[in-house]
Amino acid sequence: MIRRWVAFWDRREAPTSLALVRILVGSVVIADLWVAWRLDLVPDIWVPPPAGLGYGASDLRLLFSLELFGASRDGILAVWIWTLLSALLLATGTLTRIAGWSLAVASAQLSLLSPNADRGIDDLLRIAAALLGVSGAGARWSVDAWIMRALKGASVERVPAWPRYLLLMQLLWVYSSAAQHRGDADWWPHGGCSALSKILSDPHLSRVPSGWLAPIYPFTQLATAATMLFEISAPLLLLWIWYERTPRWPGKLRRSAVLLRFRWIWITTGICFHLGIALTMRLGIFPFGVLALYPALFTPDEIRSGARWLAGHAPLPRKQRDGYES
Amino acid sequence: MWPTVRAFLIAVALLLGGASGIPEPQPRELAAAPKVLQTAYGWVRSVQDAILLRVQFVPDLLQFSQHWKLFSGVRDAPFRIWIEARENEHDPWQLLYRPHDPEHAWEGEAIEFRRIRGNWNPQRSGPSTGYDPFVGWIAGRVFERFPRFRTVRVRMEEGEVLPRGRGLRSKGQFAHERLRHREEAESAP
Repeated sequence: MIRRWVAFWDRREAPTSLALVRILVGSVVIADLWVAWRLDLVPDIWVPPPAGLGYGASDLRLLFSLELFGASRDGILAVWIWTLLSALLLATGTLTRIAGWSLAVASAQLSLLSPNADRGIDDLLRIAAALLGVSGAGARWSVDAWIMRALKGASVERVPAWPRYLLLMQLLWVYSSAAQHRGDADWWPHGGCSALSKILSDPHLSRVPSGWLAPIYPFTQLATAATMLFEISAPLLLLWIWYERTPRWPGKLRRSAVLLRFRWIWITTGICFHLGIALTMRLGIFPFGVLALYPALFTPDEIRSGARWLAGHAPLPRKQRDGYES
Repeated sequence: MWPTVRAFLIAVALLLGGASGIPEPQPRELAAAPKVLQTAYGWVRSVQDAILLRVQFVPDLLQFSQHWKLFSGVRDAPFRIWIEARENEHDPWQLLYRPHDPEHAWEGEAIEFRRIRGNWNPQRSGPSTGYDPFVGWIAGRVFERFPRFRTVRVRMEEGEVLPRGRGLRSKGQFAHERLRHREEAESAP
């Protein structure tokens, strides 16, 4: 059992999935910081009142950036620049390991300066950045890989897979935890599955004025139920992955899951769910930040195969893919 | 040796992550639960605290938790923010911004930006801790952009969600009203 556990976390794979997550996570953070700059909100968001909105950290011991850069508008601007540079380095794969941790710590400093400006998606992106910082995500499509090739004439073809597994598990936990915290009856059948309809009627969150939902109200009920089913069933994705890897083992559920592609249905539902949020609600980077982690749900060979399919080539045969039972 | 150490560390990280992610019931839910469940939850919390106390510096440093409360509370009575200003005490208020009102959309993109909205969007328990700083900040912007205004008012129109997606009805009353005067803004440090 212990030997299997050690072997599982020692697996290696191509860096494709992790590299995609790295580029997307870095890009989402850059986009968010850029929007703040474009709207002339930097550094107001993080500056203490009355000039700004950063009402300050409850624990000043953690806020070492103020000692480092000074407790002034310029000092806070320096923290914003530090975060932006870290995100740029991460997205381009320059000193990737340092960039990942640097981004996580810099973003946490911004969070401490202005807690209300920081949402759950920032927590998730910080965790992802820290994990990317201990991964081989910089081994492909990166400045690091380019330098490596120039210096050594070869690139790293296989990196540890465990950071991707942890990213995948983190994403599943986000959904599962969200479902566990939904105590409101509106999310459940006994409350009429009215949650999405109510959220989309909230003028602070909805992109369009309320009232447009009446003709499609049953659809919003269905979408509420689908959201809950999607989130509650998130941990089952691990089972569906396992079934796909062992399709010839016995069991009706396994056969059904493989045949009906439960894993792919779940992932497609997730993508639709986040695109739906992006279209109907003003939640900033939230849907894009979560989708940035979705490449971790795919093996590198699935991504390669998908890219071939998009380019009009035949996908790779299953037996050529990593980790699948032939 | 390293793969074994790494596998052990990952196991520890998963254990700690799992312990810190144990759902927190709402106080009213806990109070309504049977005594045996309340006692069991007390034990769980004390074990959780004992496990997590020594590693709390990691989530503190990186500012994250494993409680993901996405849309955990659905509002039956949502608010709509109004930002208004006036020149003198007896002048009528002029509406500058309110959501979904294209004629009153001054600084709309900035006000609706997620990092700003977190400050003014009320919580179930009342105004956010960032609400007063937001009022002071937006008032400063109003006074800077419109030298004629002397007072800014920020308030929340109370609404009521109509059944079956039929929209939102105003209750005709406001909450969380705040005023800021130019003199206050100009005398602030």
